[in-house]
Amino acid sequence: MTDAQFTDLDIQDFADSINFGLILLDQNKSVLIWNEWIEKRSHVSKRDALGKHILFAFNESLNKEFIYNLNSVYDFGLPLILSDELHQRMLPLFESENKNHLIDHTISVRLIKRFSSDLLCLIQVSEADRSKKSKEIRSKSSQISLAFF
Amino acid sequence: MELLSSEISDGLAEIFKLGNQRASEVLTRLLGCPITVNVQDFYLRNKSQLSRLVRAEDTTTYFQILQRISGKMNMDVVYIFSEHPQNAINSKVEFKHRQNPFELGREGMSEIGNVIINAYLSSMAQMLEFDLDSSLPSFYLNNPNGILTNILSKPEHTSFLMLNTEINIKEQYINGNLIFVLSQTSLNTLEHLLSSFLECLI
Repeated sequence: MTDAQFTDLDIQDFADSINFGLILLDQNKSVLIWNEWIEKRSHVSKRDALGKHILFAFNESLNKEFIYNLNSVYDFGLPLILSDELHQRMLPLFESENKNHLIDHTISVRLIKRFSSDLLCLIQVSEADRSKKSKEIRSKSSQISLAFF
Repeated sequence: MELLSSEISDGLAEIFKLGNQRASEVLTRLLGCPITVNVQDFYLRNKSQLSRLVRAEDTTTYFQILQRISGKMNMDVVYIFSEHPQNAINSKVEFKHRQNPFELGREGMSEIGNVIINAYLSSMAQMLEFDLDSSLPSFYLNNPNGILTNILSKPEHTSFLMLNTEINIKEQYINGNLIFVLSQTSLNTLEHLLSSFLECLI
């Protein structure tokens, strides 16, 4: 497929087929893409979110820490991870079947400069896996205090 | 072994001071208690010197965070935790929202590594006035040989600017290594930018 064959519809369909949350913002932090995963867990439809500033796209006000971090990505151009282990529910996201039950999630934010003359900001959200992964990681490590080099 | 001129070292020291300040501020806000991050020492090594530093018999698994940088300088930036920070954090930090102690896994480790990498990278980019683009951080668990293979995966990467860092959480210390993995072209660009920066200071 050539670049010319990509359309907005293709990109939105592609975003909807992904099994994690995806929000794309423009240079002014307005929503360009709001995928189905986000739609189901924010309980905000695409129709209501698209074109809105991210501050006003959700039904609830955004966490100040998230706003601070998002601004720093725009200011410095460097990507960020906001883990569920160190932050408590940065975005108002709920179980798709239960609007009262918030979900733990990890967010990654990065700017995209290559595909457009304008700056774009990609926000990816994954639901926290409450399995034993952190314990698995710990079990592989030794508690050492020597420098690597 | 000393590959950095004193002039270039002075310029880098200024950049790392700002990086120390940024990393300390962000980690303090993130973990909610006073934290300082300091570069204890830094030096430049070439490929063979780097290989000799790695203890081949060491089978310990280390945590490695990597970001690929493109723009005026193409480089990989790697942060290696020499120890798991969980015990230090759990013993010193009281989390407002989390049960304490908590399990620090892949995402949390990646976030702390990402904070440290970004602090020094953004300081370098700001003081030397260049734009850069970075991938999201990738997380690896590796023994020293695996880390070395990872760092040396691109033949053009021939120079390694290595920083020994120390995170101080209420007198509990966590050591780590931050490595800027550079090609000869990127190293030349860095030295040129540093020289211009130092000329402006004089």
